[in-house]
Amino acid sequence: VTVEAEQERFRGPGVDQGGVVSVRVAATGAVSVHASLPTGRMSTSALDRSDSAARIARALRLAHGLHVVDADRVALAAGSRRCSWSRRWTPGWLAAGGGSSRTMKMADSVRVVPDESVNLDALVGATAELADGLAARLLDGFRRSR
Amino acid sequence: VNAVAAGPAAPRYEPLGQAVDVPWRVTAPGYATVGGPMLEVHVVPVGGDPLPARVVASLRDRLTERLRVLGAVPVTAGLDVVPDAGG
Repeated sequence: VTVEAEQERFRGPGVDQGGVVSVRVAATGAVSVHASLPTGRMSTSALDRSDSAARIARALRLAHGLHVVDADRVALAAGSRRCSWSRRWTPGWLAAGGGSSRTMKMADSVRVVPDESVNLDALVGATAELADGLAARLLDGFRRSR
Repeated sequence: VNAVAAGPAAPRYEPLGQAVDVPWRVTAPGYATVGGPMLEVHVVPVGGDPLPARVVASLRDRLTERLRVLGAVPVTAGLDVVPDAGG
């Protein structure tokens, strides 16, 4: 079962702060929280560790707060997709005096695959620690993908 | 002993004996992807039983209620429940 939240369309200047887009509970009992990330008018995104950790912590608290997971131990996973604009020079750019170029929206993704389990109650008692660990691995994955 | 002394909610890590099934939404790294920037977080039970059909059937109301109670979505946002294939 997936619950999708209606999204307010962002129109103004500044930054769309992002938020929960949907929550899915699989028949296996796995809970997935999907959230949009902050974007400006150009629909690009920037990730930093503390912001990512805070968002992951909120997602972990939410997943626990749904009272769906019925197991002593859980595996935690995180994934992210980011977007950026990359300038690509068009053919003949130099001959044209360097004035002709275009930008492309680039997106890449990273998955943090679980290799260990943790006690369920740590989702509440040690949320920050768990979230920071996932955020660090996410950002490390993006660094490696460059 | 240290874990017990630290309290019941201290994280106690154990290696996974086998890979768990994570319902990814982002594409695998290195593959083309579309859509805006997003974050997904999964909490996957280890060693638990699948949810009984009775519980799955109750999720529709339960999830929307909990999302409201927990303040996870704006109070003005509509919520749409989409059943998985097969229920």
